[in-house]
Amino acid sequence: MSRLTTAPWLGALKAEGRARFEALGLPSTKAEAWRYFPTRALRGVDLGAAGPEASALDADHIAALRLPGTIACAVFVDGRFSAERSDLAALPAGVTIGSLAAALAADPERVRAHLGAVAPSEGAAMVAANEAWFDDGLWVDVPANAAVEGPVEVLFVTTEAAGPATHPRNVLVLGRSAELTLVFGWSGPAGRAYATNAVTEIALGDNATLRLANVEDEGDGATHVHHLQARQGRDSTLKTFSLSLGGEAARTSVRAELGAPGASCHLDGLYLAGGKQRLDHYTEVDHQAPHTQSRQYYGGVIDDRAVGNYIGLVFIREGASKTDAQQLNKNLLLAPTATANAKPSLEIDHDDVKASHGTTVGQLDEKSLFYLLSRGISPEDARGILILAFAQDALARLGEGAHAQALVHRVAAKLGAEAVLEAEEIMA
Amino acid sequence: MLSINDLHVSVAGKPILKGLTLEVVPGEVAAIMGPNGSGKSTLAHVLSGKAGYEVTSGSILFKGQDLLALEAHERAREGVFLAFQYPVEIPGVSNAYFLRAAVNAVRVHRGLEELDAVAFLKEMREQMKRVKMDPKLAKREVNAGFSGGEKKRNEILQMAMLDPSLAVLDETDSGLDIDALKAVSDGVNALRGPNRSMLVITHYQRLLSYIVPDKVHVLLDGRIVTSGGKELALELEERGYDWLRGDAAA
Ligand SMILES: Nc1ncnc2c1ncn2[C@@H]1O[C@H](COP(=O)(O)OP(=O)(O)OP(=O)(O)O)[C@@H](O)[C@H]1O
Ligand SMILES: [Mg+2]
Repeated sequence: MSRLTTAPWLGALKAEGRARFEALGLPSTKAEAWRYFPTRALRGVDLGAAGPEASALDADHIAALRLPGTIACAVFVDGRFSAERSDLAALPAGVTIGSLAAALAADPERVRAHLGAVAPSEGAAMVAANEAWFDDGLWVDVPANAAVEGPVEVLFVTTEAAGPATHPRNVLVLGRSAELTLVFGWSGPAGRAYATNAVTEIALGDNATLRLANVEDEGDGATHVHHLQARQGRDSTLKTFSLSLGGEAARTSVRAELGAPGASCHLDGLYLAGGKQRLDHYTEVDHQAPHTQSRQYYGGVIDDRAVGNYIGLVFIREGASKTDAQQLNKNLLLAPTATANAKPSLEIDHDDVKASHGTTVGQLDEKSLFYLLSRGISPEDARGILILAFAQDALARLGEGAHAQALVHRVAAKLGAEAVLEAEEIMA
Repeated sequence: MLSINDLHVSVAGKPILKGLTLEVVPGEVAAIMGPNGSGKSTLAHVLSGKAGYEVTSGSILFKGQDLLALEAHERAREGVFLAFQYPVEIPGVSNAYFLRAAVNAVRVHRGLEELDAVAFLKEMREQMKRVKMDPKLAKREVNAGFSGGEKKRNEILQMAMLDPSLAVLDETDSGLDIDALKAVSDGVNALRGPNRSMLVITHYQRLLSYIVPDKVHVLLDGRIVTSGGKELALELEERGYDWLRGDAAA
């Protein structure tokens, strides 16, 4: 079934993943980390069923997905790398961005040092399932001091031909002082039940910087689970932005291990939930060393009968003096039937640290709405203006560049406020 | 221009306006004075269509049409403008964008072409000069972090840009220092004209020596209890309102 190399160590790793998944079973809402997420959609799904050997995908389809301002693009179709659809010519020499399966064939020992090392499957059912059944995924190897200028896009596309579940395994290795900006885009067909269960492992060398915008825009019948886990070296910086738009149920979890002094992470996100969507964000920041810093800002705009969730855990371990941790989660409910669950928490085993967290759940401000209406602005535009202003608080953290701008537009369009955004840009 | 007849309004089931009758003719500047809690802001809000006010009886005609049948944004487009007693801060929305959106909504309703960004900014800069407003405030977020004086100037700027036929100024003078008061008054006076009426709500005679009213009405306990010329304001300043209370009870 798998076209991966049959190296014994890899076979053992996958067998261990399978055994662990079978022992653990699907995560249950009894577990704190999964309390709001409906894994019941995955019940009865044959997570290990083989996908198609090769799926076809039009070049036009990829062209329509691509963001402006990106310098290269790696494409995965139904979980497997498509060299034909990828466009990686602009990468600087020495930087590898491409297929994990190919890297396992070409340089298995290099991959072995990282695969499963950052995100072990022990006690983590969905990571274990991914370990058992991944065929391929993204392999990134940026050597020390190399900087990739301009964002690299990675598209994970599910097609009509896909099996019930795909399990992309992404392994990202950045050497000392290396720098990279990635944009992940997850998409799939509408009106079809399918599952994506992805794991992204990130090893950041000393002083390295990774920016990762993760755009989840799966089809409306999809169950999407993506776990990202980073181990950070001294003075390294991780910036993730998790934008959740699609899927019937989607969960993006990020665990950052600030294992050396001076390491910092920014975990930000925005979720737009409508209909009966359930969009879940789970974060863990583990301050293990002194002088580490973390910042989190997640915004939720929730309409109809949708549910938006944020659970964030910050651990400050003994010895992590001068740690500075902030967590913010703000939610805007657009309908009385919409729900936001917000659970930030802090576990502090050391004095001499700064830590704060806050959450808000509110509706559109009536006073602000009336102010806009009293100036002749229509009720639709008044709402659009205020919702967009709320979303932009989070979107400001996406950073600069044409790709970020395009994502802001995508959000505005989804909020029905694209005309508002365009007029705002003219006046800026 | 505006004819209010026997207006009764309740807020949260509590009667606030209790048979208010008032007539404002085109070009007239009418001052409304009255003690705290007498219903002045309530009147201003009802005129501009704010939700939460229940009109239990009475009528309001504006330029001959039933004002109460219109929604808030429709009233603004028809030419009703409220300068807020407490202007609202809207973080994340730029002042220039907000005002252009408003101006164009109103212009389209009146059969005029939308102003493009360049024409709008030119007009805005000119009007900002008139109220002596720092040009930097154009790019800032609506009222966010503005001083009290800056907020009130911003209200008058919006009024100038939206060109209303009825402007209701709710305590636009409160808390202003004398320079800001002069700037705001000059802005208002420049907008006086035969086709524009103004309702100037204030506690202080001081304002009325800068914006000289044609009429002064006293609002007490939800009704207009007496009306007169500008000299009535001086009398109120000296004597307070207690001498009028008997009339209110009657
Ligand atoms: N939302 C509300 N709920 C209950 N009572 C209200 C509400 N809004 C206003 N009132 C009451 O209505 C009365 C009139 O209030 P209003 O704000 O119109 O007075 P005002 O004349 O503008 O006073 P001021 O001079 O202090 O601005 C007051 O007694 C006030 O407490
Ligand atoms: Mg008042």
